[in-house]
Amino acid sequence: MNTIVSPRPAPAEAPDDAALVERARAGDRPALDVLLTRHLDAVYDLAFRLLGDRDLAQDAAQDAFVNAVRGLQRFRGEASFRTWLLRIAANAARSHARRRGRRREVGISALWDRPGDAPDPAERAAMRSEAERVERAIAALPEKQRLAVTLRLYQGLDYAAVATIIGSTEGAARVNYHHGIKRLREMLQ
Amino acid sequence: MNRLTCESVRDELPTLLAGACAPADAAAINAHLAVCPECRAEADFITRLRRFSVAAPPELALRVRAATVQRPRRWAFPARPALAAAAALLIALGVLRLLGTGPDQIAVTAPADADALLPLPTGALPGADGILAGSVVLESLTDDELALLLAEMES
Repeated sequence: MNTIVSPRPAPAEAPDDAALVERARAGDRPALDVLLTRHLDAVYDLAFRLLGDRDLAQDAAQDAFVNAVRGLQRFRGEASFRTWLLRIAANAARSHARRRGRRREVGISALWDRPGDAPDPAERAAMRSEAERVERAIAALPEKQRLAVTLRLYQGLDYAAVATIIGSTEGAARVNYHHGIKRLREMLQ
Repeated sequence: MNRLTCESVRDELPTLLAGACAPADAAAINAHLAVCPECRAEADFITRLRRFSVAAPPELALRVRAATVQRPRRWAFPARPALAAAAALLIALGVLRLLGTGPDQIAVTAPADADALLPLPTGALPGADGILAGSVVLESLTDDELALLLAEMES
């Protein structure tokens, strides 16, 4: 597998989150919609990783966005909007988890279903099987390791942002990430 | 990025694989990966994991948009229904007083032959279900008019 990666090309012109937040605060609904769409996958992903249930993750994601929109005037920009929103999402997901009680078994089957990535049925079946193994392994990690790994790998957040979201120091976020990766390698060898 | 250790390279692998590294940092990390099989194995493993991200179901975007629509500002007193009922009663009292009927003649529920008793203007008649027309008038008040009415009620 080739691991040599090219640096990111210059980003296309698009309003950054800070500009969109200012517009959304002034009542610009299209700006708010861009923000919601931009972070939808990240919020859902975080809720799913915490809850292990697609329906509950949707409920938690919806709550997170509603809470964020209500609190938008209080957003001070001390962290990025994405970090602030994901922290709200983590709180919403934990709230749902408390209401539900025990953590349920992760519903894996519909996690990976992107025909475009593997048009061949046999290849798709293999990918689904691999997706299930990966997701079960991630779901088996302790919560902070699970969040540190997924926020770092799938959301591209730095350790400071991960620490803000999981409620730890930056050093602890780094340790959680590396321990999580080590355990995943052991489980998926 | 100066002389890289395996630890610092592994710290930055997710950033590199997301294509978010600065060009100089990406070049330095790639140079390290070319000569360090352990870090290369970790980069391969992370690449494998990154294939399986979770995307939000399409219907979630619609749900979120619908849930975050800002509704127009409305009066939101805790006892709004009670206040509305009291205000409706006051309006009805005023209407009846204007028409020369005394308080002792007021009935909240309209009599069956109300039309025959009093030739009231259409807009002030109680409805067939007993709800006073004043409550409909209240809904059409402006914020200022409603504030004035509530102030009068308090006094």
